[in-house]
Amino acid sequence: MDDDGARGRDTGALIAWMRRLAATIRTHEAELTALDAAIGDGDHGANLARGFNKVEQKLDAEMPATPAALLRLVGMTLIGSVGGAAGPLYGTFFLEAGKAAGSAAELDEAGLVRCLAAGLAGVKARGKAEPGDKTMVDALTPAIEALGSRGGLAEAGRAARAGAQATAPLIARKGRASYLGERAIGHVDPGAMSSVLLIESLAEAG
Amino acid sequence: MPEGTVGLVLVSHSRTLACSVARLARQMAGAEARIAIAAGAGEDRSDLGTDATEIAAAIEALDSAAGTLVLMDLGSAILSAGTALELIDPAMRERVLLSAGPFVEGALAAAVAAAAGSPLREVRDEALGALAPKQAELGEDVAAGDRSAGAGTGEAEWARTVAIADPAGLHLRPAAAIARIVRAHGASAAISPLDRPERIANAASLTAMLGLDLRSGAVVRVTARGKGAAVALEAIERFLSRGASGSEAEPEARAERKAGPVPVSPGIAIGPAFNLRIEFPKVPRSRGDPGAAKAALAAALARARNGIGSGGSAVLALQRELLDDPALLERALSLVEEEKLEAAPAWAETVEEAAARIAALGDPILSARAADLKDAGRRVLAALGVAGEGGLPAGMPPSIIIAEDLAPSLAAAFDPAHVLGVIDRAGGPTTHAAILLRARGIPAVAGAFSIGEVADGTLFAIDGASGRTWRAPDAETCAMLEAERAVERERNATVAGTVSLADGTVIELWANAGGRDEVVAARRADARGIGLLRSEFLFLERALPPSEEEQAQELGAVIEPMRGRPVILRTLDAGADKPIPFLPIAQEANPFLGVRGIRATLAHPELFATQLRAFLRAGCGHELGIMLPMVTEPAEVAAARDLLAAAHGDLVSARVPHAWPVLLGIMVEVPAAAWRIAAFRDLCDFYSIGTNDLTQYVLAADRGNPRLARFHDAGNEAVIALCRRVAAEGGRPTSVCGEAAGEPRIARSLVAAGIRRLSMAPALFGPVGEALRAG
Repeated sequence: MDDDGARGRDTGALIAWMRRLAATIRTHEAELTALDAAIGDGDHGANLARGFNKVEQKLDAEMPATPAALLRLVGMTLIGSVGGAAGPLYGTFFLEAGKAAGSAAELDEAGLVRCLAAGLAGVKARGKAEPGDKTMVDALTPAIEALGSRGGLAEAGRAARAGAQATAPLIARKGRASYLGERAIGHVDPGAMSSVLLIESLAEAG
Repeated sequence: MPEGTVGLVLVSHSRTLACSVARLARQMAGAEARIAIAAGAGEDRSDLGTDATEIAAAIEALDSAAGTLVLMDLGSAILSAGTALELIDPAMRERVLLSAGPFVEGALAAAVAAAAGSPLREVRDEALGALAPKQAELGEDVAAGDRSAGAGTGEAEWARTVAIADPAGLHLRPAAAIARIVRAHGASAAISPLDRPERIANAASLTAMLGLDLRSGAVVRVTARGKGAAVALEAIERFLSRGASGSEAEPEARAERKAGPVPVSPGIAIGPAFNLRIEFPKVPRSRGDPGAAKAALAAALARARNGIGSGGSAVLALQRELLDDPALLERALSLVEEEKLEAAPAWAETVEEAAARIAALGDPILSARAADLKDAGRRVLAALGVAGEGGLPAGMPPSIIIAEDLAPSLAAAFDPAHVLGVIDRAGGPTTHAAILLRARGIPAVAGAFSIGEVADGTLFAIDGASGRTWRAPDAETCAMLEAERAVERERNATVAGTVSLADGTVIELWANAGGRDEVVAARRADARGIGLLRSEFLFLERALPPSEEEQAQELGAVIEPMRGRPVILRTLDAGADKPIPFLPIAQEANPFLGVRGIRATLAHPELFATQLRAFLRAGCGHELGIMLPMVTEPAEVAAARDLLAAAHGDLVSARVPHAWPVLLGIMVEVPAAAWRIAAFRDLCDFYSIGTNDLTQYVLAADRGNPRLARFHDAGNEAVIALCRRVAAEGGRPTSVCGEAAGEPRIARSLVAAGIRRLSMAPALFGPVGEALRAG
């Protein structure tokens, strides 16, 4: 994984990422749900699993032609099937990433960073969240920064995980967890944790 | 409602919640309010969540120049609605506003403002300000009271944790009782298992609670909100922790058992038993206009509820509860909205799903309830004009039918050659099914709550005159009954259309009929005429009203055997208690006191005029009388007379042959008409007293309620006194066409009261004539 990001990712490589991510979400479904049960409504794992299962079904049925088409398909599918807040948030992430992909047939490292950054910007706008609010933004922001400074995907994954772990002592300012006030302290944000999986599976898919 | 009004999109995590809010809003703003819902997650939208694509589709569906307001419940609903705005066309987005108003109150206020034609911004302001009245009303109480429980919502939520003590778990009866408690207190309550908190059932919904599959010992958390929440919660807790779920319903059941079978239709029958089973109809998934489908479904539910009535067995009471289940209605409405299904397929699918869910729990007690649910559901389908596959299989040997609250539509189809007799576990002597059985001369007993399970083929005997039944009678009993039957046949053979009494008084025997077979029987029995021809057979099980031509043809064929003798046709006698699929009659708390008979036909003058023209055409060559049911005051007869004259005029101009002049008369069944009978003299040519309804109105006793059996007696002196008054003061020929005319004991009282014309099922001529001659 040393040369990850050095070569361009075509649509097939991005599909491999999505399938990897779907499998990872399934593996961690219970963990995500447990995190969410502590400070939210306990459906994050199940919701995301449902969404990504649907993504897999869509990918079994059709083969998008470009990275933009793939990212849009993933975004729309998540919006339509996740159910909870993760639906519009991850949906927006992929939709915005898709827009940034333009008509490129493959994404080089700069292109990938541009897409992920556009996705992150979309999430921040949609959720009106900033770093430190105890959300997925706390994992995605350091990850994309690491990738942008040519740290490579493995480093991005480590940055995401560190960012997610850092949400534990925070008071939530967004979502259901914000009703809990100080009681949310000590728990990692489930959205930040699923964002870690998103970045890590990108690294694992190579 | 015109396109010009603002549309509302209701976005909620819960499909149930959104459907209910839409229903509330429609109740306030009218059925045509432009409301769409986008709610729930997962394939069938039964999970909690929201879906921006669904919201976008709802906005697109409602889009109009007037614009659309989107109301959301909380959290991700707002995120999803915002996302939806990005998915729709930018030009359309200009016409959409997201409301920060409270979901329920805001939806109601917005729907009312939209229906009134307010522009989008005003509708939004209405929604936003909708919490103000509640705040104003509760302001003091909230400040002074305990608001600890309702963290952040402003409304206290009460909660209790209870272990279910009933050894059978949370089965149908306790669930129904809880639903009743919740509704009675005007609270909203939910039950969820402590170990599966994500599964939450509305405590007003039977199917939702049964779906939790709670066994004995399960620990549940019960929460309640609303004004009666605390009291309701306490009652629920008491109920769940008490354990003996049956104890409350028990005395009622015992009373029913004590009542035993009652005689319904005279005659002796001996033969194998056959349990009448009604298959749940297969309804094709036809699609149509959701507005029409919703209206049809609401009307059908109302009719089905009314059809079950307020009395009856515990089984029927449970069916009533099932029809009141909000979860069923919501699911059906969502199928109508989502899939554009018509009312019948949406309802059929809903019921099949719910029944399958209950059956799948694998609990024998609950599995039997799946059958109840289907049976209750079938009534709604019947009200929608979809009949279950008709009960009796081809090739059934002649049998004694065992039914559970026999439907009139089925009784009407019974052929005396195959149906030797009927044992109805519910029902009574004055139900419509009972009348039909008597008309066909099929012996029957009803109210046989105690009969228990009967295997097909078990030999049974019944005596419909005494109400006695024999399970597996021995040879001696059979021989005795056969002998009695022979005597009865003998008596019926000496029938005549008139009875001369010792003092020279002549009593005319007329026949009641509801179809051609009965008219033939009347002619054979030498009836003086048809005193009552029920025209409802033209309409039953029809999705659309029959044409004038069709009615004229069918009626003409039916009355043909009576050529040369007078025939009295009764105009459509429908009401919420006797529903006709295409006649929209609103749900009524009290259908017997509602829009029925002439009240219904005058409300649908085109349908009425069509029937009058058909009557005149069918009556061509007959001595024809037309009789109006449920008349209360002379003005109704005057209005009908005008319509009749107009029908005659139409047929004359169209050069269509028809009977004219004809006699016009009324059914005397409303006490007011009986009391003021002289006021009808100038408008009527004859009267016919309908003792069934007159009795229930005079004695204020629902004729379907078996606990009031002692009041189901037309021989009651108050009823006889009214008959005497009509005969003495009415100044027109007066007959009795109610069932009382065919009961020997009462027939004698009627004759003593001055009635000279009795109209009944021809099979009763023998015993009545004998009784009258015997004085």
